[in-house]
Amino acid sequence: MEELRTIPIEYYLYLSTVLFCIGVLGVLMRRNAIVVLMCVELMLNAVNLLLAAFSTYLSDAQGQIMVFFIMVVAAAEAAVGLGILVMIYRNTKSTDISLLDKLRN
Amino acid sequence: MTALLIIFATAIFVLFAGLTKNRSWLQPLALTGCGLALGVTLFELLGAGPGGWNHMYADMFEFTDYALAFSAVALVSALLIIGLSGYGFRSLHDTLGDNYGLILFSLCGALCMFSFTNLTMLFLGIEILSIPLYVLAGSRRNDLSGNEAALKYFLMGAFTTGILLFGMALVYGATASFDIHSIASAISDGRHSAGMLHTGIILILIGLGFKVSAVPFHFWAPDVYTGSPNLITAFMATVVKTAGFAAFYRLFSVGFAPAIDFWSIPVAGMAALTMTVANLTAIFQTDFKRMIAYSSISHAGYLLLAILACDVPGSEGALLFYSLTYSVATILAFGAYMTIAEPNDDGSFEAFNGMSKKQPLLAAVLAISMLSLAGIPPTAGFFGKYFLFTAAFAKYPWLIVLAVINSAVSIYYYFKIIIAMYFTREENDYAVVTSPGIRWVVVLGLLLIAFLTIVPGSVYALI
Amino acid sequence: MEPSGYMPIVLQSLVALGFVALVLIVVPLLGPRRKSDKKNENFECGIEGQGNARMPVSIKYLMTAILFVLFDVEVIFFYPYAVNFREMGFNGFFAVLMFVGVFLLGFYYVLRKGAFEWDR
Repeated sequence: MEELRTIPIEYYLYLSTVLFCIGVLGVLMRRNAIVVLMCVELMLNAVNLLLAAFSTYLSDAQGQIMVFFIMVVAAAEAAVGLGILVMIYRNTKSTDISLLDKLRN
Repeated sequence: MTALLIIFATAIFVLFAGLTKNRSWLQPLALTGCGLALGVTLFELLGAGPGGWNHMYADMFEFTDYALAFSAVALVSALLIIGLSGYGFRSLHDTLGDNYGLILFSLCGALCMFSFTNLTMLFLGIEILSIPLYVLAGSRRNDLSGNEAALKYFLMGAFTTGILLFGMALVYGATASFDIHSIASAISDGRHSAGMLHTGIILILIGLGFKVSAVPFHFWAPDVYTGSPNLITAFMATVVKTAGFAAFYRLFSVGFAPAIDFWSIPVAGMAALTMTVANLTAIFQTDFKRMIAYSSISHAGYLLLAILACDVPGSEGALLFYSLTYSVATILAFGAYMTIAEPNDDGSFEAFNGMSKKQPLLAAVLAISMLSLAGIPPTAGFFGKYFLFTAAFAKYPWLIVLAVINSAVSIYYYFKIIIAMYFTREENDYAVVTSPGIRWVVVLGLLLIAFLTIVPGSVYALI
Repeated sequence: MEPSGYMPIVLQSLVALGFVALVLIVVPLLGPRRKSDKKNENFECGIEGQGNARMPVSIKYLMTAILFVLFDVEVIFFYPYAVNFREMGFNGFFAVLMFVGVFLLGFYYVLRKGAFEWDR
């Protein structure tokens, strides 16, 4: 763990912020629902990285426990999301989210 | 906690009961669970206290009167919604048990959000609340608008979760704790790094803003509300909103209270924008559900006032009272709407034309709930607005002036429905289909509104 | 642990890597090499290949895959318990037992719901 602490905490902060921003941009710009889902996972993993880094830096286990919960919830969310995508694919034969604009008027 | 356990057990029970052939007792089963949980919660709230649950589970929960009272509000809403479900779920034969189970699981999440003391629990509560709802929004599998609503709700929800979590991680990094009391003491002692904390608070604000659909993070709500099955929309507009605001209030009034000077400015801006934009957009709607969606966004704007006034005594009671009146009125409105819109597949205002002659009772109920939502004086909704506005008046007089103007604007679109029901000449030949369940729900809801109208102070003073 | 204590692990890694490298070098040298269109097909004997391998997979696999991911990820909660199980004593044991119980209920539900029936 000593080696970890020689890397300043800011570096982790910057890295995860960059990863998070890539995820946010992906969600906002991509049109394929599966890619959007992947970008959301990227955001969550950026958070996980940050939490693990803080947890080590603060010598406090709470952050790592939070990481466990985030991973499990992310898996549950992905399962539900894929289920919804399959349902939509069966009806429209596409995963392009810009096709879904029936509700806008 | 007792209520949470009862609801969880009922949910599992209902899920398995749904596997059997006889599905007629699923609804009574779910109702019994909710009723039992409500009884226990009221018992704990009014007399017994939460028992020994408070310091179990590593202090993740705190069952204060605040938590118990809001649990009661959510349980009442759920009870009424499940009571209506004989109706909204008619098309879902093979997955009926799953639908009831998912509603109850979602309710578990709401109950977690009322009593959390740890950000981990808040996150889990929000997710337990949301994930079943993604499924429920798309529960009509062959309906394209339902599919679209489910996907939009899911993508926005997952995106929001990411933002919220990044905020939580930054707050954790700044204050070295997830516990809201420790966060508060870390902030007031100055043991934190201000930049990280403030970024974290802003991100959490954005995340919760999405969840409670405050402007400018509201754009998903009208689509999702319109596309989802009616009953699920009612659930989203009431239980989810109550849970979102109760958690919002708890986090900001306990955890981030020492930083109020920092976050009150963006929240005030959000409240002003939410009220104005939502009310102005609602005027132009022609579809009932879309109008209700914008109305629920505008009510989010009023409820944000309670968070702004969180250091004023009485703001908790105002939030509680407002949530309860808003929830009951919205559910009653949905109950009346479903009887006319579902059999005829028409959700526009014209569908209500001449309803007062066909179904005088239901028309009266819808009228009362519209008056209550608009906040017309003798109704319960007026007292809700009154408590809320007086709590926030000392600190934000300009915002209250804006809120009053907006309430006046909202009267216009709520009255459109009353006019359609009572004063429109042209009639339609739409049939109104009622079910036995709806009568009980309407009677219960009316009694509740009457109670809130006659003795508003009794609920206001609960916490 | 002393740095020298890692020696067996290093040796084992070296042997494993060395064997892989050795096989990779020796096999092409020993074997005969013939190239033709028939040889470059996916299957050089048996039924002739048809179409593209990148075709949609049956939706049944998705169900199994999603359920696998869900049940797999839940195991993550055993890790903190496994690390601390002595300190947590019977309280921790009952908590984990309850967790597994809920988990199994979920499994039974999935089973009864027919998610594992292939011929449906």
